[in-house]
Amino acid sequence: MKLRLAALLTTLCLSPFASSHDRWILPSHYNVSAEGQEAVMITSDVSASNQIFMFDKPVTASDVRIIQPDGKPTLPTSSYTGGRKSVFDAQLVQDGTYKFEKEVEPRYFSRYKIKGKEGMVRSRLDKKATAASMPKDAYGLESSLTVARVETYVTKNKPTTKVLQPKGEYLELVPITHPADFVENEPATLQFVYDGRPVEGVKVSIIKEGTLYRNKPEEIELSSDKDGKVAMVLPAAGKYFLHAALERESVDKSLADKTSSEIFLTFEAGLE
Amino acid sequence: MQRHLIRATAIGAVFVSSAAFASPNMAIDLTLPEITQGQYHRPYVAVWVEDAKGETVKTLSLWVASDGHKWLKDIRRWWRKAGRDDLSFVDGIASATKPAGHYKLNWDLTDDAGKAIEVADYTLFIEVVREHGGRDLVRQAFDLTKGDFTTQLAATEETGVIDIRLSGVTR
Repeated sequence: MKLRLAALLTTLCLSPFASSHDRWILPSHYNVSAEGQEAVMITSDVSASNQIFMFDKPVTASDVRIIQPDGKPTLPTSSYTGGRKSVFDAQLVQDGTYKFEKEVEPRYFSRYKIKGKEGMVRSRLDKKATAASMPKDAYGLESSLTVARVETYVTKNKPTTKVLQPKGEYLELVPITHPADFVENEPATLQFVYDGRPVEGVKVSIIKEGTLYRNKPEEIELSSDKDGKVAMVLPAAGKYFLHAALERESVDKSLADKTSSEIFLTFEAGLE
Repeated sequence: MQRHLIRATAIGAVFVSSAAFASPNMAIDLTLPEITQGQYHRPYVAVWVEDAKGETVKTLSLWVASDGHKWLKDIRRWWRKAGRDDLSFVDGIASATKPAGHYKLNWDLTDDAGKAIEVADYTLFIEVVREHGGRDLVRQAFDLTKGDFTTQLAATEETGVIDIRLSGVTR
């Protein structure tokens, strides 16, 4: 445990840009059935936490978008922001697969040191703006652009694939195995793309719900291959949390040295 | 011992009759057990056959509540494999839930379209799910190249003993 904590602290120090909390959208149902055009109401929790699916931080649900099976976006029918979690409702009218997504706007983070002083000075400005505002004896300026996506898929009746298509910006997760077909003990494949192209070396961590009641998180750790793919075999049915991260050198280093992309996906593995 | 003898005689009789009647048939004697503990609702039941690739070939039975399609997803494997793909097909085969008891199902080895299936490997699945109760998925693999067989699947929480008898395949 001590080792783990030490490792965690080191990671935090080395990478001040990454958010220390996992964020997630947890829908009440991942797969629903209904007759004809009958609408189904789904509710989802939105929060951020260290333990998987514990409600800790009031992450807003007001910017959640619902991409319908025909590709058209819509907004939740209602939402609520609470002290530890937010909630939104979505009415599923069309048949097929919906994507619930919360895209965190790209943000700059910078840091530098000052001679004779301990610790880092952090700012939420880009490299240029930080350089202009920092004291003369400052050194070691580093900046990063961070992009995060918080997402999940929900299917009414027969699954469809339109919402699985990537947009071609930054890091994206493309399910090769349809999320409605993630099943315990069966291999499932995901692909990662960066700016629409397969990307190797994405660090992926998959954790089953209920970490609070286990001594160890029992993470499944994977890395994408040259085709951007990872194959996962989920050991048991249940709800899972996936975190994917990739750091890349920025093309234009004037505003940020690197671009750090994260994806937080929630999904369900069905019974065999 | 006595029981074994009777069973052996019964199997012998099957072989004799299969030689006489060449039309293939799989007879499934399905038991839904009496459950007295807790709140009881009649189970949702699906009986179907998948090929070696896991594609459904035929849904033999689908017993569900009559209030729409809300509960279909709870018959989880059947829903993923067959139900969600074609809801009008589901409407065509669905029938009401049944109380505890014995049920005889017969399958003439044709697919959902009514065509005779190929001589290959298949698996029969029986999925029984009960609201406020449990779920059990039982299966029996069979290979049509090997001809007729008789087998019995052990009881689970939600399924009683299931007898399966394939006849008319042995040439």
